[in-house]
Amino acid sequence: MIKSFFKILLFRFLFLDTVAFYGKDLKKLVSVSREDGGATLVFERLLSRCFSRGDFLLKITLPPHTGIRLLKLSIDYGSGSFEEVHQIHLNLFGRFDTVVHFERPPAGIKICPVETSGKDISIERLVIKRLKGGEVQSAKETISSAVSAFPAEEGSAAVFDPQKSKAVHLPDRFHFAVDKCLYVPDVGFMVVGWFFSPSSRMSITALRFSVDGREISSDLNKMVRFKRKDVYENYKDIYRNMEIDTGYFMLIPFKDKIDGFNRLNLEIFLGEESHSLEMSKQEVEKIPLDMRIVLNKTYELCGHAVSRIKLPHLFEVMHEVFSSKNTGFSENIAPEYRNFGMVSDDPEISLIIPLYGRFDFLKHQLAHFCRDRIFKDRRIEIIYVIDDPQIIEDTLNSCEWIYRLFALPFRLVWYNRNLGFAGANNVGVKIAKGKYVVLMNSDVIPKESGWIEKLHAKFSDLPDAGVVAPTLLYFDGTIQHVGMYSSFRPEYPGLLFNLHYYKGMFLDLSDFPEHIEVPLLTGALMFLRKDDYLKVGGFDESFVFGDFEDSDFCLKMKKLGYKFYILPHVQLYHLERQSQNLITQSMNYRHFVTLYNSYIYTKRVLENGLLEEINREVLV
Amino acid sequence: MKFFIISHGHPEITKGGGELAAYSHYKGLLKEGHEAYFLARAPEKYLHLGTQIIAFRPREYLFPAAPDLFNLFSHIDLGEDSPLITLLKELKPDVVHFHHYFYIGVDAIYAIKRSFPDTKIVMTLHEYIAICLHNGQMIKPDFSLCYKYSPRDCNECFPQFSPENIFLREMYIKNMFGYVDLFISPSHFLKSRYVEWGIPQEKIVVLENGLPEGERVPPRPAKGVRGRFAYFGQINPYKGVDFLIETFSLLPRSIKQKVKLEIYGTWHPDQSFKERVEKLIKRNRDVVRYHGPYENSELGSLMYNIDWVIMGSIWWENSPLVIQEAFKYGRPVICPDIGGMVEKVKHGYGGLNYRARDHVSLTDLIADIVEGKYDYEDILAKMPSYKPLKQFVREYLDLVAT
Repeated sequence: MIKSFFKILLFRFLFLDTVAFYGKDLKKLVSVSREDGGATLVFERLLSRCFSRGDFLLKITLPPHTGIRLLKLSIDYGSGSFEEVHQIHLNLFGRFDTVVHFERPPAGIKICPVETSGKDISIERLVIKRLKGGEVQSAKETISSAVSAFPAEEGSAAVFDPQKSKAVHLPDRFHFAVDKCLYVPDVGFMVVGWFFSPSSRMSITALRFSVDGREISSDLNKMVRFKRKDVYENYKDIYRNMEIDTGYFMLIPFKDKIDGFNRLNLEIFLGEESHSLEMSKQEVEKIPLDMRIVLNKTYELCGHAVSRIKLPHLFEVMHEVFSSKNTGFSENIAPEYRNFGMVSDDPEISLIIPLYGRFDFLKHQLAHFCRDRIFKDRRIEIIYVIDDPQIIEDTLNSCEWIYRLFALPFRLVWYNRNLGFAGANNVGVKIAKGKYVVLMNSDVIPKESGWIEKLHAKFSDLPDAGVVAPTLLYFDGTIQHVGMYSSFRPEYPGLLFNLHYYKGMFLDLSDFPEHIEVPLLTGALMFLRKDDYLKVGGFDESFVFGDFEDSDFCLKMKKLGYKFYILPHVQLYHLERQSQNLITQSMNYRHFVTLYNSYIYTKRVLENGLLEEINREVLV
Repeated sequence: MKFFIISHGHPEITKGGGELAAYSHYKGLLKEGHEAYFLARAPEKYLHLGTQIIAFRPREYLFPAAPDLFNLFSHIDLGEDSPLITLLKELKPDVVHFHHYFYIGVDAIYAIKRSFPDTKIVMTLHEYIAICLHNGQMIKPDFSLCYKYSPRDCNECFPQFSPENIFLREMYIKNMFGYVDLFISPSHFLKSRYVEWGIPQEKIVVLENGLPEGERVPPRPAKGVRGRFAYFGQINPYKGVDFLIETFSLLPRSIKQKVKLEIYGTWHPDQSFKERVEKLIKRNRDVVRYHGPYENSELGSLMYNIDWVIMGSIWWENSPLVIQEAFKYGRPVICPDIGGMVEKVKHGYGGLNYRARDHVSLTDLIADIVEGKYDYEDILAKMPSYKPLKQFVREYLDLVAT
């Protein structure tokens, strides 16, 4: 508590730019009030004193899984009444971030959840940053992009609302509605709605979609149907034998570069008769060509309700349209870089380590590299790629100090985007000067020195070696990775998942030889030739967020005849905290993305006839 | 030889067993004719604006630092041209001796080895901060004793840190500890905890801290009952002063009349704890008396008026200075039967033990003492001697010279 008091004092009097409160101390600074029916967090007087006139960035972290997605921030300037000033959305980082402007020092601040009244609420972490004039706008932009990229609430699909839908209602004969139409520039329109015919005599014979009078093709076979409970509930008492799968999803390609259009027209043919629905530009939502957002919207509108059996169909429809559009982002990136110390001009091996979110791993890794003779000999080039605009400034700053301490040269590369794991590695390899590259996650920490030499030596010795990798261990010393294989799972028919051999077991469970040839390797640590990486085009950036690009990469290398080896006796720790179970977890947006990635991967495996090779369930 | 001693505090500024041990170490080396320097952490206000190290007394320097209990990172500049490295370049010590790694941070170990590969780095371990996030006490949040480090268990105590992050911390500290040439532990118990945690057995030597020379004071002239017990030291939640007062309040009236608990020491900054103990003292005025803070130089005369030094620590302790002081002035110690305490005081040898945190065990022991079941003269006769500074320095030099 005394520590918090000092923090507040130092912050208030400008000795600190940023303060963070958490744990017990924070509990004492924030109290819970239940006056307004719902639970509200009230900043105690002491905490309110942090603020003076000006702009502040607040980063609020609530405990996980509260279901709260929207907070209301109210301020009292001394009159005793709280005025609502802001709504704060949950964002990509699982936090509630907002910029607050104070007219004068506030007397009190309250935070309460919107539409989740009665829930328990507490606050886990609070970071306050004072913003200088120029920082306000960029902070606001960062927040809004972090919010818009964040998945919408599970199951928040369009709810039956005759007012909001564009619909054709022919009582007892036919009902058709458009709930939502999205436009992705250069790609096309995504239309979601529902239809059914109470009399089996009526059915859609054709759909005609036109933009400002110009007709575009729409293939009825590419319509994905899904469950609409809301529609069912509404009509089940009117029509006997009401269907449940009345939802539909359509993707209508529209590759016209011209961005502007005024009217959309959807004509529905029911045999001889036809009906038409018109939508104005304002009724169409434009979303950027960013698969995170596209998939988020798809999930929100229909993805959660599509049955597991039909999911591959949905993905097929999407992939057909998006696959050519959604790749190679890193090619247009012109990264900035800074060398710390004299980075080798003629390295033999380049280490490429993307940073996302946490950058403190960098210090931990460098502390270990320092112990390793090979790094002192300057035959190695260390490249950190910052793939997170939010941490560029902090990383650059802390690197100055880290270099002063360790005096181990390294290169820091950054760009103002989040490309994902694949893109970050592609940028890194392009810059790398070594004959070999080591692709390494930032949370991989060597167990002992000499690992690079061992990987290098084995790579040269083993026949047809394409990628050589060490064993990765969890913090408790159990196996995280000694190679992996792909397999169909009963939970999702038709989709392949990557499974790790001996995961969670101790290494002494089996008598491992010095090296084992495995079907696939994880991207968390790979040793390979740079030319090979470039030859196959690196990691494929069409995978969203980052799974499957490593096994996909292995497929491409396999096609060149390369083999993959794991070295059970060369070990590094991988301190990954798995945030999701790829297969068995319940459906949410993130899981939906994994399934989409899996679809792309499965398609490639089957197209290349590699299923048998990668589906090796026993490690031998 | 030339020595550069780094301490987590200067005893003129912050009083504590560790600071005193570090300062005596430094003074002892000077006295034996060696060249020695002392660098201690001090609050920021002691420094001039824009300085990172200042000269405080001849040969004595201060640096400011914020504590970083989680990472134990250094928060001072350690670059090749930083004030610390520049100072060391001027002084050219043969040995840099860390008394504790808190405040200075473990990065400093690396930085010194980096800039002075031939300089020997020695480190005295004081408690368990590298091992335990609970202020290095190895007790759990409910104050029960902790027996072993494990990232999963630590995460139970500190849910805000994932096991992975706790493991990351461990690896970092061990990595930096790898640059230490020799560890010194004042007790076997402390050594065993660090060895169990992962420091190689052969890298830690046990050497008790030395004390400036002093004489035993004669036993208090008393008729029969040896009933004066005294607590010396900071009054904080880990030292169990509240436990001692509660125990004394539980004594039967017949025994209460024959005993006194005398408390000497400064207060821990925690106000609510202070209020609670003050209330306890007030409620038990018949057996407990608070005397206020004391100077180390007074210890001899204060001890003259008492029969026993008593401890109530609820954590393991390392090698409590107060036990050495008690031995020096010839007063037996009553202490819990755990950790660094039972190593120095074994029942009958140097004092008496009771079961840690057990009111009943301690009331029984006090009753036995009052009833004359223990031969005070015999305990005095069997009391080990403290380690005089001169002897400490001799043994220390033997260790670091090899």
